[in-house]
Amino acid sequence: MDAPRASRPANVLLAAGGILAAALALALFLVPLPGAFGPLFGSGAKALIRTLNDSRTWSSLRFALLESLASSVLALALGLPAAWLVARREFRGRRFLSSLGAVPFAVPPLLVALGFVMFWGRSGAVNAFLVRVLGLDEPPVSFLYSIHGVVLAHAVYNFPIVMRMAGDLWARLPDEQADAARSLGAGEGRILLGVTLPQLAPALASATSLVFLYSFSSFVIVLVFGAMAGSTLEVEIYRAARIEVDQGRAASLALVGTAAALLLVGVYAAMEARHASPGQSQGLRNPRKPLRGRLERVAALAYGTVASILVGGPAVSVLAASFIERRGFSGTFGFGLGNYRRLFESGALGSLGVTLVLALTTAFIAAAAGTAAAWGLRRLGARGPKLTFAYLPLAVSPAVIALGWTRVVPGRGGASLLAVALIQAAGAWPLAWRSAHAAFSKIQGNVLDAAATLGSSTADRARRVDLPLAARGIASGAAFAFALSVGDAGSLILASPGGAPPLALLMYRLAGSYRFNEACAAGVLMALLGSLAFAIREEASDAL
Amino acid sequence: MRTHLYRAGNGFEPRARQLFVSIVFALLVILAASCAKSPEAPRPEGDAEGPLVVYAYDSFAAEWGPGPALAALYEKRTGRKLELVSKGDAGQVLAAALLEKGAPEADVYLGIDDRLAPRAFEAGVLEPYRPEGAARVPAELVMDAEWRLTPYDWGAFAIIWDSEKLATPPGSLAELAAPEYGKKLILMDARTSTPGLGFAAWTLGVYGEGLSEYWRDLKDSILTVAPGWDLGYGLFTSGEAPLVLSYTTSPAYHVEYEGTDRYKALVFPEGHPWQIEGAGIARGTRRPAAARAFIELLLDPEFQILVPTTQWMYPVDPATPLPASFDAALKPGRAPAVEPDDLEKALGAIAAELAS
Repeated sequence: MDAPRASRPANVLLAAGGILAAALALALFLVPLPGAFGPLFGSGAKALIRTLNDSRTWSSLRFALLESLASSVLALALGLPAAWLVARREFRGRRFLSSLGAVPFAVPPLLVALGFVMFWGRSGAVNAFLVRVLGLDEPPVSFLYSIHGVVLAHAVYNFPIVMRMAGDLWARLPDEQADAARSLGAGEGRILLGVTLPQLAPALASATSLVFLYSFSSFVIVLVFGAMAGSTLEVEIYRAARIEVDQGRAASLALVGTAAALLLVGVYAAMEARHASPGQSQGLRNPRKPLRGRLERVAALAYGTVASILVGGPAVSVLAASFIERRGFSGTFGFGLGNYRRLFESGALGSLGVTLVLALTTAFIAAAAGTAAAWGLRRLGARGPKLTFAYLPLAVSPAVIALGWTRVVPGRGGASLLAVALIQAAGAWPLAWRSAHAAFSKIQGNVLDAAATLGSSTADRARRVDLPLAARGIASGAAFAFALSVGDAGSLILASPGGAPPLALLMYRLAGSYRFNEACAAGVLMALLGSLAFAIREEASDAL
Repeated sequence: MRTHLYRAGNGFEPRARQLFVSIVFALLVILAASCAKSPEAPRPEGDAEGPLVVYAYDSFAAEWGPGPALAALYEKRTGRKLELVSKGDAGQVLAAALLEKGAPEADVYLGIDDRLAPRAFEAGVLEPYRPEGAARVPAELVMDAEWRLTPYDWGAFAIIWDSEKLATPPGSLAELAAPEYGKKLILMDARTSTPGLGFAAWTLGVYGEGLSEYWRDLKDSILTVAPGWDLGYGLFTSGEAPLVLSYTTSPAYHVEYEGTDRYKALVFPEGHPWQIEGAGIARGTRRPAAARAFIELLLDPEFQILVPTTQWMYPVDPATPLPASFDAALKPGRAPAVEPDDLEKALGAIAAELAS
């Protein structure tokens, strides 16, 4: 009985840290909200009525719902096989596939869009290849500038969420039920549909909803590929806040968007509460097996090919562009490291450092706040509908958060890196909180009961039982937040911190100054940073 | 059942829960209190200490923009440091000015162009000051009779043509909508970018009542509408389309740094919309004398000569020597001006035409 006494200071520290983190979680959303919605009350309801009577508001809402639905379905289709491969199979390139998931995350949407264009575009790699091989006059692939392009880009951008969340659960699914079904003569297909997918349902529902919400608040990709098809609410908010400088309209649109997302979140939370299956014993990861039989190998190969084309194609295009230099007075192209050299000459090393500090801060804040909230809600016994409270922040779009922050902390006060980290942490909140929450709810009740029986205090249990068992989930959320921070330019553009610009901001400035190939080089650095975070997380979770 | 057991075994005891709730409540109160504005400090006589704070847009403050050289020049002249705060785009500089009205953190707002200017004038966030170099600015570039904004550079929007991808370019705004240019044009969104807004104003000024009809035809020529100039121009140099909306000065960049003249600005007989960028002193600044010195410097030959190759715009002082690459940058005639209210309506009509 000496051990608990000896660790009391540690427990006090933990409790203080937990309360601070919980306050932080609240502050992330509560501080910007008055800023974002304040103008609604300033001008009376006039701006709101004007906005509600505007057909643009409703057509953009309709379009946003449509593209988000299609995007999340496709992301599910793309992410589910990856989840299985990463979680349950061992093969060469598994780790690579796993960390590849960070690439779209860690790269700003501007570059994702350019990557898609360089690969699928009219002068892109695919069309150039087909024109040459088939001897055509016109590029045959032309789906990019339509809702199809928007949906494909969103799916590729967000499938890592499905891969990670479903993969984390899949790795620890007990095999008993599947084995029982198998011994009763069920085929693998029936086992997948009848046993495994229902077991995965909570993770799939979470991941799909997150993809939906991220697609719902997407901005650059919707504009560049879908401009001829429609615009989303997020675009309208941006326009109202930044171009028209009409805060009343921006706040009204934010209200409509938040209300719509809130409705979706409510439906989702209710759904999850119903599907929450209490009987899952979790804890140990299943050993990964090599690919078995011809069918599995062929399926894995087929999926690998499709995934390499969809994810790898645009990524390699950006990589290639980063090595292309235009030089000489003939305007010819050449390959070389010149873009990287110029990048570092214009201060990319400082940018790299700032990016690293910012991303680590964001990851820490997001993970701490998410963990504290998940743990606190669990302790309070919040389950089912009560949990909806924790989902509410998901409904507040990044544009609204950023809008609020810039109004609450205007001027140079809003320009600090910490403010940016707070905005980014709010953006990464869904991932951080979901990962921590999922990890906590997977801890077997009897482990805690045992701990309680043995007389551990609450803080003691948190430190010795809850946190270590949930570490994997928390780390997963932190890695997501890190990658998101590296690739996020939106809040940087809004808050514009002084000093060396983080890589994402540097990239935007380069792209805004005719320096696209250097911008691609900056993008490659960001993708590497993000992948590194995912690889480290993988390493750490294997060691658990 | 499980839920019940769970709570009985592990939930907070009532007292602990009360404590938790009251701590959270207390934190909320502290939070709310800290959000409230602190009382304003009394204003000192004369210029306050510290660097001159200038809000600017990103590309102005960037390493390769005119910002760093301007800061060095300012420090050399006045002995005071210059702090360029990057505010994203020009719209955000204005948004910050409006937010800080009455108690500005900035001394100078830079980058407010002629389209944003009416909003700034209306809000009364700028202090008039007519610099000594004002006489060197041609009348057509003067933004304001009271000199609340001092222009420092200007450009004109134009369609840039990739001469290696398309044999015959359109000769006018009208021809741009011809069927032969189907899916060959990249535009920028009027709702999210300055060139996009400039183009919308261009078509409104030229077509007026016939605006919707023109855009109905033009729609088939458009490959895509990019959210910003950066992405739209990136698509263009990636070879996605042979025509793009940009500035008449864009080809000069490719001549200067890539040694190629394949990209050419098309001069249309309908005239071109101009963009004039200016800077103004924040009303209520604590460093008025230092701010005036900054405005003076913007029209100084030593700064004006930096404009072409850092901003890729024309200097406002016509006497400024231009680099050879600017031979590729044509100075076009000016398109008819439009009223802000009409433009707002036109944007709705254009959006409706594009969505149909």
